[in-house]
Amino acid sequence: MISADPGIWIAAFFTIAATSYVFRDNPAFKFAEHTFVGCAAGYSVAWNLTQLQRVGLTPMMERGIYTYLIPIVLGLTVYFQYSTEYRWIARYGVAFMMGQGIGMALRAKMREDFIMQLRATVTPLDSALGIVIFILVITGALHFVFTVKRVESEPFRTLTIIGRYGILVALGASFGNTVMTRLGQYQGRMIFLIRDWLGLVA
Amino acid sequence: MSLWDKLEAVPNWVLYILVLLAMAYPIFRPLGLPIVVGGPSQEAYKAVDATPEGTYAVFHIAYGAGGKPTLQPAAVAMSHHLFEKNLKVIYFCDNAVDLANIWGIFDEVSPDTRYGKEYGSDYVVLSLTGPFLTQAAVVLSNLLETIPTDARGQSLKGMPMFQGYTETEDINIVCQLTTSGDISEGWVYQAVSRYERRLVGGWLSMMTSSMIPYYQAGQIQGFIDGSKGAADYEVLTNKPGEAVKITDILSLTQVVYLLFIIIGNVGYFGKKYMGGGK
Repeated sequence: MISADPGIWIAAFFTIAATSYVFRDNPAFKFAEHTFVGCAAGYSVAWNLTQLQRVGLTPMMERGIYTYLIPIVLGLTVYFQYSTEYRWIARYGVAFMMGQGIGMALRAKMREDFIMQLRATVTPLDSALGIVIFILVITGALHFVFTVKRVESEPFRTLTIIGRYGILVALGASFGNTVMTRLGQYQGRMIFLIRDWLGLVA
Repeated sequence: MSLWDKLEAVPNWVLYILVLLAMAYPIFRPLGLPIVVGGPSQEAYKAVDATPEGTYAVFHIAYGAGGKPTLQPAAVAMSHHLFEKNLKVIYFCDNAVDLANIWGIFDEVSPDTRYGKEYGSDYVVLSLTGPFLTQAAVVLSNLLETIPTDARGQSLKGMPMFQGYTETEDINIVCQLTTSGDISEGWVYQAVSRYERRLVGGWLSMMTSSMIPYYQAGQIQGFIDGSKGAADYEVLTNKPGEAVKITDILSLTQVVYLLFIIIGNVGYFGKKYMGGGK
């Protein structure tokens, strides 16, 4: 039986309005898009203010941890972006955030994304998959070497072609996964429309 | 327009309608296609299963509304497993939508009635804010000092599950389900590299090609690959749910896509080798 819940009807309307874009841009899609962006922005502001109060202001006032003032003030400096005269102050907040992010990620990024990956590429050469990965990493990297003249002659040319096919296979797999993801995301809405809204199946 | 041209340029609306029909049909008439459990899902299951009882598991939910159809079934299946293993679960998120997703998980899993678990004694929900790497570091290293309260505003230090809690030493495994590549990689940087915890991931299928090197290098113990991975986990935990139903839809829709890829290629190569202009 078709749902009598107004919330379900609103959700169904927005689902259909958002989907209508696949045929062409239209006012219903625009309305859904703007509503979504507005709601997301509103939620985000409310959420962050609540968090600031819960994690920053309350412990500072109740437990007397006044060091929390430092990140709060640094965060507030970002709003100087809106002043032409004092825009330079915003750089302190942004610089601190960037520095902190880089500091936290740099060591791990080098280890996990570079050293560990390099090790994983060259060590397990005891299986067909390991050998294929090893060959395609080398030939794939070779494909992007443009500064050395010799890569245009044999046998480098053949190796770069192998690398190119490896890259194409990877891109194909990535495309297939993307299609599957998009379908996976939409099928939840299909089930919602057919089951929860129209009540056509239990 | 020749036959090859027509095959090469099938109108979009034809494809969309056929895809919608292929999606709808299995909802009315489930096909019941067999599910062959993939290796990464099996490894993810084994990693959770090998976690000693009574230790802590961090479960990060970060898929919002967009990833919910794909990853919420995985979160439900994994939550069943975590509660069955009697782990103390620290759920956390950093936005209002994911907080709602977490309460939705509890509605489906019913940890209190089904597993006899109690909020504050066996599981807790945290809501954080700020850059993700900082959030992960806080949860894994300095939780009680930095985050005074849970998502409901209750004091963490007063909760039974945090009595005698020694931060990183007690956290045995980190599970994360996300639609963000930065978060998936961020967990490798923090949980694996910095704090040397075991990590199980879960993400959208389109992220797999960029995340699978971490699995192959042994940095991630196992992972859930979108809807298919979620269905695998439901099969492994013997609790078939939404993901198992979705697998039928996915399979049939993929057939339609494959068909159109073949038709497009027939048109392309037909025009190239057999001629036929306008």
